[in-house]
Amino acid sequence: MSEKELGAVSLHPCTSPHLMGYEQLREEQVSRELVSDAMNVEKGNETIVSPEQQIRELGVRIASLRDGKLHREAQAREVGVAAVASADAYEPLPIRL
Amino acid sequence: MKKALELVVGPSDEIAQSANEPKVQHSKPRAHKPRQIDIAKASRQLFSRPLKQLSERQLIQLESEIGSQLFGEWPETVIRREFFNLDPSTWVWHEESYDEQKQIHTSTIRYEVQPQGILKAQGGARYSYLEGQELDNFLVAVQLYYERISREIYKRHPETGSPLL
Repeated sequence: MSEKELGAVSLHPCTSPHLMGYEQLREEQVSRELVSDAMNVEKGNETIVSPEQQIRELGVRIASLRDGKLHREAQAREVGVAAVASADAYEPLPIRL
Repeated sequence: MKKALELVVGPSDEIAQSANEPKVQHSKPRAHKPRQIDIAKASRQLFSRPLKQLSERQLIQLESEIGSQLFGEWPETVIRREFFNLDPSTWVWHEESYDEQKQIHTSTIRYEVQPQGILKAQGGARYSYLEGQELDNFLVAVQLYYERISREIYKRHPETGSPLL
């Protein structure tokens, strides 16, 4: 085993399949890929997405999820602040006894 | 890199140390257990404050809780583990563990998504592109991370992006 491999094995579990649910996910992934590939071949538009490209796309999706959440939070906060301000400005009618 | 890591794990002198530089621990190490944080509970607590806006940092911290669970149970020697997506092109792995001499070792790996591939940058100026099984495993980790945070934190369907009821 080279030094590089040794360093990688000792430093990162990504180098060995210790991921929880790895086998199951891998099987699902493979079957999905097979179905997808078969469909694409049938349509005559076979597409190959590299692991790097998939990782890149997932990174973009995660950023999008985060941005969406922050945006919705900001909107909700604006609505909440407006509601509080309007409640503060509310002057109840004098009570007549 | 230190700044990026501090974003999630907080300021620490240990982070400043290089990945392979051992730190002598003077006190007896405590029994270390993986953090058993209920993600659903934590996110409920964070998301149930209508006028308190969540920061990106808090979201990444929640994500990292899930990321740290993706690789199975922590070995007994592991004190802390973080795995998170910093931005669309950067992933960070951080682990702190102690050896038989009770010395704490920190390991931080940055994965950069580059046009040429996934660059793995470790301490000691070691750089290499992921390939083979390691690349496949990293992809699975990223997919699991995305699927879990999508469902458990953002309550969105991972494939369609539609809200989960």
